[in-house]
Parts: sequence; C-alpha cells; structure tokens
Amino acid sequence: MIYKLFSFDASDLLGRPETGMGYQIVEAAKFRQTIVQRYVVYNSEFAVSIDTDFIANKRQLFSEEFSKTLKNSSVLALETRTIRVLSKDEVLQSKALRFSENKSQKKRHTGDKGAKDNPKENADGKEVFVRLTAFENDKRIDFEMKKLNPGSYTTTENDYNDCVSTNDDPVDRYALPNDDKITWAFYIKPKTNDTLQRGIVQPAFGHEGGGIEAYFENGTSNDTFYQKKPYGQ
Amino acid sequence: MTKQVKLTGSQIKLLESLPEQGMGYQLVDIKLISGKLLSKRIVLNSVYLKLEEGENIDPAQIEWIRLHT
Repeated sequence: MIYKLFSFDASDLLGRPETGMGYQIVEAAKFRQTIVQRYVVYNSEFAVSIDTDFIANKRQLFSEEFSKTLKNSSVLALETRTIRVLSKDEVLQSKALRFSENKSQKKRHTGDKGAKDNPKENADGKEVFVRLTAFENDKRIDFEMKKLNPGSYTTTENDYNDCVSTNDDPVDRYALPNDDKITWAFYIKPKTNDTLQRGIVQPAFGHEGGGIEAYFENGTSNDTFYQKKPYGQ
Repeated sequence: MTKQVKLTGSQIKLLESLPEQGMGYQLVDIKLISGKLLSKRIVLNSVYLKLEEGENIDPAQIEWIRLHT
C-alpha cells in the first residue's frame, strides 16, 4: 500500500538526511501502536511498506502522476517519536530489507552522471553500440541509410553482453518506462567522426538503472547500423 | 499491462524528429482540443502513447504534442 505522510511527519523527515538519492528508509510505529514497521519514504512525502508488496507498490508509485497518487493515498499516522531514519549500513545489514536483488552480481555501474551530463567524445570506429527495444520497426534506426537517427540512446555492446550474461532485467537496468519485454537488439558501429556522450542510466520509473547509456545527439553516419538480432542471441 | 494508443502519422513523424529522453521513449506534454493539458506522458518508439488507468484518448483530439522539458 502507498501512503502519504501526515504533514507534521513529512516536515520532520525533510529535516533529516536521506538514506539514498531521493528516499529515506525509516522505521516507526503506527499511531497508538508499539510494533515498529519499516517503510521507504520517497520525497519525504510518500511511504511504501517494505514488507508488503513493496515492488508492486513502488512500480505503481512511479507509474502514476504524483498528484494522482497523493489524492488516492491514505494518510499514514505514525507515532512521531518512534520515527527513525536508517543508515545505508543498517539497511544493507538487515535481512528484512532484501527487497532488491544484489546488483553488483549483475555488473551494474554506480555514479550520478547520465549520458547528457558528460562531455562529447568521438567514437573510435571499433566500438559497437546496441539499441534494445520491444519494437522490431525501431523508429530511431534509419533502415534505408543504415544509421542511427539524431537524438537517440543506445547502450554499449559490452554492457549489453553483461546484461545478458548475468541474466539481468534490461527494463530495470536501463530504467525503461515500458512493461513490454525487450525482444530486439540493433547493432551500430559508429565511425570516428560520430560523437556520443556516455554515462550511467539513472533511476527512473521505479527502476534502478545502472546500465551504460550512450547518447548520440547527431545520430551516426550512414552504413553504421549493420545488424538486428533477437534479444540475447 | 498499461494501455497504449497509436498516435497519428503526423504526430509520429514529429516525434521521430525530436530527441529521446532515454532508450526507446520520449516524455511529452499534450494539449487536447478540449483544452485539457496532459503533462510528462510517455511515448514509446515515437509511436505509442501510454495511457493512465481508465483513460481513453483519441489521438485525433490532440491539438499539439511537444517534448516535456
């Protein structure tokens, strides 16, 4: 269940440090109760219980407009004096908080810079980039000129291979907003005059990100798209 | 699964010419002919507009569509 916090508690949490970017993990007892429960609090505003359908609730929270969620959520009345923000160490040590898979085993990356936050670099003419999609007729590929259209994102072939070899979920790794299964991989080998920006996929749409993303503001040269394969093959 | 609706040819063409915000999707703002404004909506592959639960949008009733900034 998604709750909105009582305004007094929300103000109180605003003055406390975050557990991670954009969220706090707190433990607290409900009003007039003594049993402490744990919640992830987003934006010091919404609370999602960790122990009950956390993944489904988190997805719902990020798939709807916040104003709509705020309107439809019940108020979570807490015993304010029992609210405690947990540190990352406490979270990691807690067995009850294993709501997330161990991403390090999936060869994911950490860092707060997405592709557009980094400077442009020239392609080396050898590195291959891959575009993952649920659509066989990917609109960002110019099939006639065999190139990537301007303003398009890809990942690197290396990161794609890591995603496949670790059996990772590409929708979560690349923080994609769709529920459709990724079914296609389009391969592009840019030329040395093609430029790109490279970074780490930031959390979005309730997904963690952590894959590599490469943004081609100007697209790529003709004859750089060279093959399409089913995902994972 | 979330419902989605296919945009019109001219809307698709417009979005194809605009940059993505992530691999395979764009975030857009929409104004309907009725005057209603829709903010930060997701379009997949420059073609499919994701709808919210219980929502029904006729793409022909879209006055304008532009990238969310």
